[in-house]
Amino acid sequence: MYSPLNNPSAAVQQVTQQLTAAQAGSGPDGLVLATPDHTLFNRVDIPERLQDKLFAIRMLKAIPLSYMVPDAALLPPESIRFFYVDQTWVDRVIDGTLSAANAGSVDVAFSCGLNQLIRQNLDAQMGKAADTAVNLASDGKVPLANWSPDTHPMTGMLIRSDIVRRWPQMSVRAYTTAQPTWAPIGVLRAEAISTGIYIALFAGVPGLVQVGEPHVGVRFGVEALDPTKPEAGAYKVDLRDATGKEVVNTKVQIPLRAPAGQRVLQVNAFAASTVAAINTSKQGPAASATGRVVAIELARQPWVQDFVNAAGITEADGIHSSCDAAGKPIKVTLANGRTLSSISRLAAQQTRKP
Amino acid sequence: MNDTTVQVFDSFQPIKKAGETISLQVGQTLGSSANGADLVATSGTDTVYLQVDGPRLTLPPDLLSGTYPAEGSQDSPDEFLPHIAIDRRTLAWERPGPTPTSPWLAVLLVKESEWRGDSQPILHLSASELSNVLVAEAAAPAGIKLAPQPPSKPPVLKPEVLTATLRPASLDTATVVLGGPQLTMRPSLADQVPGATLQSLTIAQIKAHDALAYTQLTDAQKGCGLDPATTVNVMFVPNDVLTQILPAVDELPLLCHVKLGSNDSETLIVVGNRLPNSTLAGGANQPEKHTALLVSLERRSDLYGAGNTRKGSAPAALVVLYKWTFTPSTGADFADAIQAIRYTPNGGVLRFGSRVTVPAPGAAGIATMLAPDGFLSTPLPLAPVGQANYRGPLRPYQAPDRANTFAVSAAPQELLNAKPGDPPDYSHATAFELGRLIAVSDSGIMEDLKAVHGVLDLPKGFVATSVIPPALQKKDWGVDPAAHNWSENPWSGTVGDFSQRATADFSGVSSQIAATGPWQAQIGAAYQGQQIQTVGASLGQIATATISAETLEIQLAEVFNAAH
Repeated sequence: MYSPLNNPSAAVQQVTQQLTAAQAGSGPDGLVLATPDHTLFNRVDIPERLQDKLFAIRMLKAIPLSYMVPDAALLPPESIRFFYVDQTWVDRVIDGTLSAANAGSVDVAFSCGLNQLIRQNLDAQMGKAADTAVNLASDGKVPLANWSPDTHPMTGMLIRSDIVRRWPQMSVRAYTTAQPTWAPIGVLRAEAISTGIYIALFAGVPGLVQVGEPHVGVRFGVEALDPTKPEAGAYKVDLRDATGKEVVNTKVQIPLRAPAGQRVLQVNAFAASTVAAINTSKQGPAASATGRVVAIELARQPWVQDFVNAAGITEADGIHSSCDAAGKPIKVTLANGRTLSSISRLAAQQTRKP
Repeated sequence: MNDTTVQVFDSFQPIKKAGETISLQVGQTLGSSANGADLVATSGTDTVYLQVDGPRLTLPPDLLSGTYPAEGSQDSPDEFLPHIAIDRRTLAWERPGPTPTSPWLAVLLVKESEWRGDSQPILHLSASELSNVLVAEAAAPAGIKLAPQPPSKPPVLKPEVLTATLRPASLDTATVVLGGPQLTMRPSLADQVPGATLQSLTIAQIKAHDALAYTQLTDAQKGCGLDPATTVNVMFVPNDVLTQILPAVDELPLLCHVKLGSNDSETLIVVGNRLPNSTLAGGANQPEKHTALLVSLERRSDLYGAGNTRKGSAPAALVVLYKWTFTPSTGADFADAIQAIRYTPNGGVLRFGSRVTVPAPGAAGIATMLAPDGFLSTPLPLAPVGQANYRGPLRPYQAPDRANTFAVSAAPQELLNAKPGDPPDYSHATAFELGRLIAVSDSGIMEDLKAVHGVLDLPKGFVATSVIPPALQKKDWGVDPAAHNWSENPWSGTVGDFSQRATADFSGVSSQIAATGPWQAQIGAAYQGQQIQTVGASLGQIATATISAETLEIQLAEVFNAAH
């Protein structure tokens, strides 16, 4: 492409000097220039539109998915993958973009200083975005970490699953430790990038990532009485006392009005049995059958799934066979006492002969 | 992590219910003096009457905070009840319900099939309506007189009369099986009054379909006392369905509550009492559509107990304040779906780069097909056949320190230095080319690249200084400096007069020169030696003894120009 830039006969003397100072040479990344601290300019003036586009590259927004995931097997259906971001690779994309306006050796020599300023400019913008995210997550209660993509790692996660299609508004939070304390890590980006793929970028290495069901406000509902037979049409709720605190290991069955096929709750009978159960448990204040108690019992919290990165957790914990040695589905109990409903289907798929 | 507190209240009772009247009478007493008599005692002559009003027949859009599930939603699990949130905490208790103390709002959930009757065509025809029916053959059902046609043949129904009742298959064959002890005949509600759509009718129009409701809505004593000409949004639910799904009177207060959120928002929430049904009926590929209705039960004692004398599936008119439809989901809920990712043959939760080989039943292993440095080796499809290394920006382990370098060309020089036999590494060359492609594909970027430029910030802290020598720094030459001792206070005096004077006091100039020394030298110093000799010589041509301040200014400029 360019004739050798460090050959004095190829360019004017000034360019040669410039390149000598910039230590031009071919390294593992191609022909590279390591510019010394540039004192010619104090700052660089970039049109806002261009700045936005370069920032989009830094946030991987402008990188086609096939460049990030070069093989479909790296992100199979129904999978979650955590990664580090290689800033050098992303820098190369910016270098390429900026090189489109260079016409020759003189341009190259002079634009190197500008490129460095542009890189610093984008780094600062990324750091500011991280600060904003931390402030948002902690309500301004946490001192900022002064994260910079230049010196600190940037990580992220990819989700390819039906949950992205069904809950594209799900929330992602990240924390430095495995316990959710007020030590959030800035979530630089968390959005669906296609119908089935979701990306999140973190300003740091999280010890805990929480993926939350979208908060659609409070919801009311019930749970199957027999988790293995959700289709039976019998339901329960886990008992909460009058203050909303769960009464451990106590459930209240939901009486249904006849005919049961209409699935109409017998609310008055339910309220009566709930109040009796609360008062029997002697937990919290005494309750009476009112709209408040019914609301507390039927309220369902959005589910928050933790992903923990801590000592003692190995890579193999992230995946498990859905059937035992005999090919029978294993039993997976969820936190709320329910059984994973899709495990039989998964086991059947796994044991299916090709 | 849930640090927000939500308070839940049973009810917020308004002091006065909507429709009630408050009377005010104003009086004032100012007392009292020493002898006990009021100083002033006055009262207004008129009583002011205030009528308390509130939403009644529709829900104003600004009061709607939200519904669950959302309108048109297709993924709410069938274990969640529908509910509506309203930004007016007292609304449910502003009017009397079926009884004076119960709330007047309820959320009903109706399945699509319930608007239309069963999958079998069911007909309920009066004798007069039957006169429109052609009777073809066979026997009429017991209890129904098919006059004037002979009751010997099953009726062939006119499609245009009963299309909405009958499934197309039945209409095609034009035979309807009537009879059997439990089968009643009725024209579909959809035919009479399309129940599944929200209709805007006057109360008078409702009378033809549901006389009970009409009486209750218009009766001024026991009912709502609405004008029959009032237009309401109404839906007709078959009475046999309604009695199964309508909350009992003592359940109405249990289904309403007020939530006080963390941001001091007070929201009335009305919860439905019926779970949606996501069962796939009869070969359908998705569950039935459900309609949730926020209905007014204001004084609707006609819907309950002995007051409800509607027969069978006669339509019951409901005033609908808000309506939304959704389709429940058979799919697992969020917790199920996200936790299932861990189990094979799903892809698991792993480091990027781990490729899963489905383990043997019972095993929990994985196999990584990516090199530890994050390279994915792919066979090159082109000749000569070989391997190429590529890795994208995502890496399984922490990336090496960021290179403090800039690429200026995509020419893969790195390939030149590669050891023989090593697969070429195209990673960064690919990234560089991608950047160029992004740039050239976007004319905006190309345009903006031209405008990128470095900025040299001007040094700050400099103060502008005058180069005019002290000898000439006197604004107002009209005042004799000597007389005013101006050298100690040079800017005092009549500033501003100078410009208005045609001539000035020459002595001012000469006194100034006398006071400050040789002015030519000062000019020379101020201009830092630029052509000082010439300037000095030229300045000597100015006759300081006779020049005015005004002409001095002009002449000085001329002298300078001549010198340069």
